[in-house]
Amino acid sequence: MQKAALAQAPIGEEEPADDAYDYDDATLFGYGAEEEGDNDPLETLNRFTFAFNEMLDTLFLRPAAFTYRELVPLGIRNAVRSFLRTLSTPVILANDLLQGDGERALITSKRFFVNTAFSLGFYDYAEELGLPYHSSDFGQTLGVHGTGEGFYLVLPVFGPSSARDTAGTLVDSFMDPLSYLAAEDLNVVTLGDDARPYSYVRTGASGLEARSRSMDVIDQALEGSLDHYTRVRSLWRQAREADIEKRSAGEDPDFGLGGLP
Amino acid sequence: MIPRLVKSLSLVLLVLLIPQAQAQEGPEGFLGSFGQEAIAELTDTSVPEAQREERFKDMLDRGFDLEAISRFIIARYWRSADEADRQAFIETFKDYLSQRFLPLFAGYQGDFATGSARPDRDNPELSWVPITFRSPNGQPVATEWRVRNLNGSYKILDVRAEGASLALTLREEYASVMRREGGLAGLVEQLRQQVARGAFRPD
Repeated sequence: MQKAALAQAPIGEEEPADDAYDYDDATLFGYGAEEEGDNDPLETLNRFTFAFNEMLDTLFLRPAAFTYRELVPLGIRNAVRSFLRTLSTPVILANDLLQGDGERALITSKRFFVNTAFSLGFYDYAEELGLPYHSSDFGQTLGVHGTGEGFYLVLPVFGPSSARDTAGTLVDSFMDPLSYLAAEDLNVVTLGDDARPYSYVRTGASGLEARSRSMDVIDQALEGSLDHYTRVRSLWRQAREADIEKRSAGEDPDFGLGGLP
Repeated sequence: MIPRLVKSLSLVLLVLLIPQAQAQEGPEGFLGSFGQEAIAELTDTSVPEAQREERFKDMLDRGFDLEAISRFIIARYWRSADEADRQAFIETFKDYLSQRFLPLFAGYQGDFATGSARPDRDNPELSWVPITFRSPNGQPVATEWRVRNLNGSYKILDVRAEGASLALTLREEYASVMRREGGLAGLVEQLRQQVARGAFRPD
């Protein structure tokens, strides 16, 4: 009651008091009552960044991804995706191990050996052998070990993230051997400007590749939305939670495609 | 001799059939027959649009716990809203659902497979049922349906497609609209305008 009075008085918004909310409804749907909060203290800034990103997407990324999808045959696009995934093997493997997930670490290693041995990483044979791709990152590792997201954060260009996952991305880039690769001499290990072009090209290609695959899904997900910002925030959070609980479709036999006879 | 054989054979047949009949009960059986009904009733485009919409809304009323869904989605604004606004929301929400989802049934060629239900850890009357939709052209779509068993009759509470919950997504989106508009009445008005414009119709 006190809390409700506090929440109402100073802000002066006409939000109903907290006790007006029936927590039984939330348990019925299997979501804890604590999800009621937005956990988005930087909402104004985030909305601004979000609008900026949407503009970038409309002007550059979306047309580029569309052209890429229409002009480049699927076989080549698959090779590009497979190669990018092979490049990210060290980071995925490190995080699988840090998560204490031996099973996934083994899958990642097997995938690397199979795919590099047979195609230098350009073709995903492992997938056909029943070793499907999964991604792992340090933000997810923190989540697996119980770290909350901190708060929601929209990064310029990169899009939805959180305090935890932004820190995770930084750690991942330090873990990535590609960040240490010098441009002139592949034997010299330096962390510096020389390595940047590689990282930029890789990041750009990954973004383009991901955007070209998600085009229809994103269009559908945002169709008829009353508020794009909130919908993206909600969908991103749910996807992230699924990553952390490792229940993305196709991997867990109890979920998704497991129902096929 | 022969009548006795027939009799015992039919008995064996009956015994063999019983477990299958039971397997068709439970949340999986409910969703299976509900889905079959939806495909039978809603895919035929020679039926006039208004009639299909009527059938769709009738199925919403029978198969979904619209009251519980609305309470969950509207959350804190539900109690402070008056009964007229609540009913207005449920009606408009049904308009939204039929504009958004009924067109997906038009001429639908695929089928679906129901997996085995996963009971909720905390509440035995609730379960998640996986359903995979397969269409001749396109990737299979993995969904999960949250079903509540209320004294032997089943009602759908939520759908997850590729991991994202419809109820949770709408709750967060509508919360921001209601904060902006100052309550449930404002949200209903927004939804009405969008429905009138046909904004929710998939291309």
